[in-house]
Amino acid sequence: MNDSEILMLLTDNREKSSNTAFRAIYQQVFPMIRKMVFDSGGTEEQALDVFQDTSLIFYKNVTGGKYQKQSKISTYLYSIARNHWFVQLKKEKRMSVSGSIEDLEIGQAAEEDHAELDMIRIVEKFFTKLDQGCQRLLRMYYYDSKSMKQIMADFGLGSEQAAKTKKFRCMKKLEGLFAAHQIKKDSFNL
Amino acid sequence: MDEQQQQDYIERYLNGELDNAEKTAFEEQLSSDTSLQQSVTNTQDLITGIKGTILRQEIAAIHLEEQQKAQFLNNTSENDNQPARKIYWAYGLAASVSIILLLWAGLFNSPSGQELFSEYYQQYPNLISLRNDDASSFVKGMKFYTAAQYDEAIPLLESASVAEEADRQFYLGLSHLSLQQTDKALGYLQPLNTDSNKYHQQVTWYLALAYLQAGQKARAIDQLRSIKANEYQYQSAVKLLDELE
Repeated sequence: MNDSEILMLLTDNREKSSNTAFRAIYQQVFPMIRKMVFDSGGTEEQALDVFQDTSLIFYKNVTGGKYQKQSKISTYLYSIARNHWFVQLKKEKRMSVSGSIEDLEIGQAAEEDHAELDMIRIVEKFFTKLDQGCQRLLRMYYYDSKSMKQIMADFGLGSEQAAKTKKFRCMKKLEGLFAAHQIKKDSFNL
Repeated sequence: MDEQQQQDYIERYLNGELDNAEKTAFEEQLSSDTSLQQSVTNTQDLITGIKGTILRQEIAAIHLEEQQKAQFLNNTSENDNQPARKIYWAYGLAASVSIILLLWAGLFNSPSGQELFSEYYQQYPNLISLRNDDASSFVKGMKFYTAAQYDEAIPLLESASVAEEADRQFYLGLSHLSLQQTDKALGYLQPLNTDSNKYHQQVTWYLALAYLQAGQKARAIDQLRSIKANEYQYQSAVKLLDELE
C-alpha cells in the first residue's frame, strides 16, 4: 500500500478503514522501531508502546493537517518514534543528557505530544473501568462515528433521545472518575 | 439549559457544529465562565482519551495478529522445504473440513439454523482492560480472543485465574461458540443466564444463537422472546424471531 492510499484510508470515516491503514503502517514501520528500541536495551512491549504512541501522534497530525507529505510516511513516523523513545529514555534516566538527546534537539512539540499521551493513558485507565455497555457505546459514538440512530438500534433503545441520554450518563461516569483523579493529583501537588 | 443539553452544546462547539450566532454567544459566555471553560477542557480531554484508548487497543490487536502470522510462516518454512505447497495443502484441508461441516449442518440441524446463526453471529468485542505488560494467562487468552484465534485462546482462558469468574466463563463460552463447539459453549454460557449476572443480557442473546447452532429452534425462540425492549440486541432478536416463526 502506498502513502496516498494510507492517507486516504486514515481520513476516510468508514469503519475499518483506519484499521487497514494502521496494519499497512505497522508492516512498514514496526520492524524499524523494534530494532531502534532493542538497540538501546528496550523490550518488545516497549517497542509496541512506542509504536502505539507514534501512531496516535501521526493520526492526530494527519487529521489536524500538520502532516503535509513533507516526507515519506515511514520516514516521518520513524522520526516521531525516535524522538518519543528518547523522551521516554530521558524520563527513565537511561540515557546520559550529554549524549544523543542533545543532538536530536527534542522539540517542544515532542514534549507536548508526550503530555497528551500521558493524559490518554489516564483516560484509558478509567475507560476500562466502565461497564461493558458504556465502553461499547462510547466506542461506537466517538471512534466508529456511529449515529445516535444506529446506537439506538444496536442497544434496542426506544428512541434517539434515549440513546443520547445513555451516552450522556456514560460520559458523566467517565468524567467523574477522571475528575476525581485530577483532584487527587492537584492535592498531591499542593 | 440542563446539564445534558449543556454537554451536547459543548460537543457541538468542539465539533464546529454551532452556527455563527450560537458560536459567538457560546464563546462570550466561555470567556467569563471558568466552570464552563473547565467543562470544555474536560470534554475535549475525554474525547481525545477515548479515541486514543481504542486506537491503542486496535494497534495491540494488529500487533498480535501479525506476530502470529509471522510465527506461522516461520514454523512452516522450518518444517517444510516447500512451504507454498504445504500452505496450499492446509488450505485444501481447511476447505474440505468446511464443506463437511456445512453438509453436517445441513443434514442434522434445522434447515436454516446454521445459515441464520452465521447471519446473526458476530464476535462480542473484548471489553476487558488489557495491559501490555500483563503476562497473565487471562490477558494472553483475551488477546488471542480479540484476534479471533479461539483455539489458542481457549486453553489459556481455561487455566486462567481471574478476579471475576464470569469474565472467564463468558469469553470461553463465546470462543467455543465461534468454533461451533456448541455443547461446550452451552456449558459455559448456561450458568451465566441469571438475572444477577453482569453478562445476563449478552448471554441471553448468545444462548439463543447457540441453540440455533444446535438446531434447537424452540429453545432459541424462548430465549429470543425473553429479550426485553431496552436490552442487548433487542432489534436483532425481533428480526430473528420473525424469520424463525
